[in-house]
Amino acid sequence: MDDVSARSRELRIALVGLPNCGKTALFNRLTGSRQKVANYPGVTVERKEGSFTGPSRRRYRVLDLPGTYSLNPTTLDEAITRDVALGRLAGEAQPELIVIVADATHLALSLRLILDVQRLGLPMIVALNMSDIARRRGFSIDRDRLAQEIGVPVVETVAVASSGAGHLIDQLERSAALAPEDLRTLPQNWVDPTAAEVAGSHTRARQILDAAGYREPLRSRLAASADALVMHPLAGMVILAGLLFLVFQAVFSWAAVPMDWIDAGVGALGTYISSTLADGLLKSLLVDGVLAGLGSVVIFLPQILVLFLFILALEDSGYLPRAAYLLDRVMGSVGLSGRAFIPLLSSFACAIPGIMATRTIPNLRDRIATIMIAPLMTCSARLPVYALLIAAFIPAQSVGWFNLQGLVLFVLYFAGIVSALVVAWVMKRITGGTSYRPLMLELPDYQWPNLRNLTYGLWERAQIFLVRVGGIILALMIVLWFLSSFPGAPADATQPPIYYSLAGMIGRALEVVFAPIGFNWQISIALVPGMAAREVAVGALGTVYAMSDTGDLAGTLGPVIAQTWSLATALSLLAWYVFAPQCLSTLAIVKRETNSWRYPLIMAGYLFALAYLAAFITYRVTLALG
Amino acid sequence: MSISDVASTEQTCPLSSLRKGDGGVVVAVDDSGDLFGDTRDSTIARRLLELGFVPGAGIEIVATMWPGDDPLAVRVGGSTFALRHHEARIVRVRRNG
Amino acid sequence: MLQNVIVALIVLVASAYVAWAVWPANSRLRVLQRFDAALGPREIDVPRGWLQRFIVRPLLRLAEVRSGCGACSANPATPAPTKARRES
Repeated sequence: MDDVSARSRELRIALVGLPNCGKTALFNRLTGSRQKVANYPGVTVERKEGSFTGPSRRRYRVLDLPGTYSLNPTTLDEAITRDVALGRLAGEAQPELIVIVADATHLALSLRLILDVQRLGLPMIVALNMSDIARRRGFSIDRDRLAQEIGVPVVETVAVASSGAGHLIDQLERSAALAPEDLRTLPQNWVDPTAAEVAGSHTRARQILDAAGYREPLRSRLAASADALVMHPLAGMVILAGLLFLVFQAVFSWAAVPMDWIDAGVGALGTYISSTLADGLLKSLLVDGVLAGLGSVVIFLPQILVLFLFILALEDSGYLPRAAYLLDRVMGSVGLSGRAFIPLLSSFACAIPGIMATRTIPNLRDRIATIMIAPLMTCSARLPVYALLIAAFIPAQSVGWFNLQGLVLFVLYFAGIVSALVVAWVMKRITGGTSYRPLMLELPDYQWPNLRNLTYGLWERAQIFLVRVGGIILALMIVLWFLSSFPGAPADATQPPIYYSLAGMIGRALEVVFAPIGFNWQISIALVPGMAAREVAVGALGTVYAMSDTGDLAGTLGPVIAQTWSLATALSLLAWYVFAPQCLSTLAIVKRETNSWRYPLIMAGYLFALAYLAAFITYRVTLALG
Repeated sequence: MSISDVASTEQTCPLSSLRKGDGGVVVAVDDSGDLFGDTRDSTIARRLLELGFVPGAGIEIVATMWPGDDPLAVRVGGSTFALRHHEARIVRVRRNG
Repeated sequence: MLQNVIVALIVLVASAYVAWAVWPANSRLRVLQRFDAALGPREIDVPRGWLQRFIVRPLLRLAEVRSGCGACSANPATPAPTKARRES
């Protein structure tokens, strides 16, 4: 086949595999940043497609199908995998070749799936992923013999290494070079396998592995001891609580020095601009709008990175399903599925991937319940708000081993979790039903978090954060500055000019609503752009206070609000932030995932009500206590 | 074909009755149970089969939670799964030792 | 005077960006697609064609990333320049 026709012939391949087999890492390795994420037509399951070009200049379109244990689905996304593989999904062409990604350290289970998929009659390639880990741990297999036994080419891949997909690409080129008709091996007629056939496929898988000389090492003593401790009812809970404590302590203590550097840098930049530019609109825009606004947000980058360091490390380590196991009774008592734990945990970074992850929950009512409480999980965008208020109002002293600030942060996160559980319980009572929720959660092997992965992950987060700061947050600060500068102050002004501006007018109008919970007009202004992005509230406060300053830039935001706000107001704002749905993007995603306006509206409604109530109680109680 | 036929005469017990450290061999998965809400026993049974709880497979209880040994963590076929009481009850095993 | 012009420009660009960002993704895509269709078939030498080629089409491509979260800092679907990804 000559070069031209090879180039013009595009091949559609799909990645299929068990969950936790590293399929997504392989997909990323193959397609790099050339990915498109959308939805499958008519369903709210994420469709990930990417493409790459092989050495022969042939183009490959890769579809990353949801992980599944078999072609007999129990959840919506598993059903998608089966339907796409069978070509049954309307609007989705059947893949021409399937790459089964098998976890080389759990080959028996993967092989059973391979035998299942073979019944489709489509051309296949088996990718033995994580082959480096397998080799290191002492797994061994005769790959050629395996390929012979199942009649499908088998290649090794190491998704996390830069050339790790090389063998797969070579094999793809070879398989694709055959004329399309040749690639079909069996006629296609699909019938769901019976229970006996499933049992039989396990037996056959074992036979094949024996024939191919598959050698499994004994279970690592370290892993077994770790599990004995981590999953012990008492020790396990203590470890879980201890881990959370550690995270919050670290967020304050490890980030302190870098935060000081950033503070000094922003301050120096501000002084420089103030002294070089002549007084006027541009100077005000740059110093009060851009610098004060962005500076207030950027300073929290170190804390966010520390938080993500722990989130990423825990995700990679395999600990999270074990935490789900420990908390399953608690989840079950409020009517949540144990499978809800991981999506809810993802919500600690951002509720949106968490809400999307609820697709793995089979029961619809459960899924809705989990979606509705996901925003209560303290997302990382709330951190700047919490950190600002805590730093300004909570003294940095120690209570025993713990530092008070970290303790308060833990309490805030805990409040979010507890309220989520309470809301779930209330929903269970309202909607009734005592349906059983299966758990059947796999506990993957422990893994030392890969340092390279962690570093890249953090680098990515930092980049995304800075892009966000330089993008939407910067734009919002500029617009806010504009609204705060015009119209100017009247001749007999007693308040700073911002009070009389458009923004000031909006703030004063909103203040009527917020006064009972202790919010002044400055806070009221800041909450509005905060709807686009939670951290923006901090930036907005920075700008608003900078523009309320009649003198030079007096200092960073923290000390200013520490002096002007009462403790009651600060605590009230914290309580507000635990609940308030300050994120339009989250509401938009809920609408998309539930295909109706009803749920996002209910969500916004109940969250605002809770926020107001909590802020009210906090404010009044704090005032009463003096 | 009903897999539960095999179970009746053997000295078997449900997986949920095992404690931490116990080992055993799977005899059958009982898919004839009651409808529990939206998830039939037969669906759960099928998924358990697919996960490796097939007749003849060796299992070991890695951990159980308090109170009530629910959920429990079971090792089968080289992988570890956390099962709730009801799912574990469907699996009938012959205890070792 | 020059200062005021610069400031006005900056504010205009910022406002346009904010409007773009808060516009619901699906509606945004649809409006752009209709606009693109209304401009007619591609013609490079006509001024309309330049508008289509350099403004509407790139905007369309940006709008097609419908993962729902335009600016979220934690959304894994946000394309980042680095190619290496975590295992998941």
